[in-house]
Amino acid sequence: MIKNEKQFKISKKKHKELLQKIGELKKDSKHNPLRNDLILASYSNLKKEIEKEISEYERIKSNSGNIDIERDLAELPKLIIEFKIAAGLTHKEFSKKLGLKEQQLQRHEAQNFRGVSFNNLMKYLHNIGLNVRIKGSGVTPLTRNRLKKKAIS
Amino acid sequence: MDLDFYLNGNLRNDYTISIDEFQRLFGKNEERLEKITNLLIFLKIFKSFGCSTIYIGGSFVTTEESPRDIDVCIDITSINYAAFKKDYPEFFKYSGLRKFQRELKCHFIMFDSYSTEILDFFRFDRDGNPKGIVKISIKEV
Repeated sequence: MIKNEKQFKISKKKHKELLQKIGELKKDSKHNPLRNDLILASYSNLKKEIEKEISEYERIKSNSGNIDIERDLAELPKLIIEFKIAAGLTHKEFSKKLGLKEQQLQRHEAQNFRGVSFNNLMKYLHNIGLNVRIKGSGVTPLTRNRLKKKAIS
Repeated sequence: MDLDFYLNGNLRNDYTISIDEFQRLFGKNEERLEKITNLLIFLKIFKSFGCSTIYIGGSFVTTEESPRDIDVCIDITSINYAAFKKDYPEFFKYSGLRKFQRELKCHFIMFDSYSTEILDFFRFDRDGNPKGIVKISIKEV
């Protein structure tokens, strides 16, 4: 997933280079056509992958304030990154909002927030003001927390 | 062999290792091992058509716990193209490769001695930081 402008620019550059390679391959008559087909299919797949990521980033960026908050449990880490893109926050601003040190945020981002415990994930989502709805459960984590507290008391 | 990683999880250098070492060094959890098991099936196929070397790049050769898939660069220089196409036409189609990626989490990039520059795509991460890749001889697969 592309997470910031720098990565977006690098992906665009890679995409351009790949398009050039694909163009050259299509014109190539020096090599075995089957060799070219084999390489071309794999380049096209790589190109599609990059295009998917570029359009996802552009979609999130243009949808500022309009993030889909109904997600599968597994998608919650991704939601935090989407929020950062949509809100157009700097790394410093975002770490402050999450209540994390910049270095910690960098580590979490590099791992796509996947190593973060469920409780911390919920805390971060709460800090950024996203009251997500987990698909299929019908309840939001905040509702779940309220129920949990009620059960304990 | 011990691998040297940057703090961001990227490999500091390119490494040449055996397939057994690859399994030991990068099959650190169930999720990773499952992807390697899928890869081994493909490697046997590639080997039977003349391929002897592959390169692994992307997040699988970083310290990331749950990489989405394995980026595998296949050196097709010595492959018998006609025989390969006859038995496995899906490798010659974008849609076939897409299916392998979606279902078996193996993302194949084909290259030969005239197109090795594609390997550089995997020598930098999304932020442009340097990143090592892993070369594996599949003669022992």
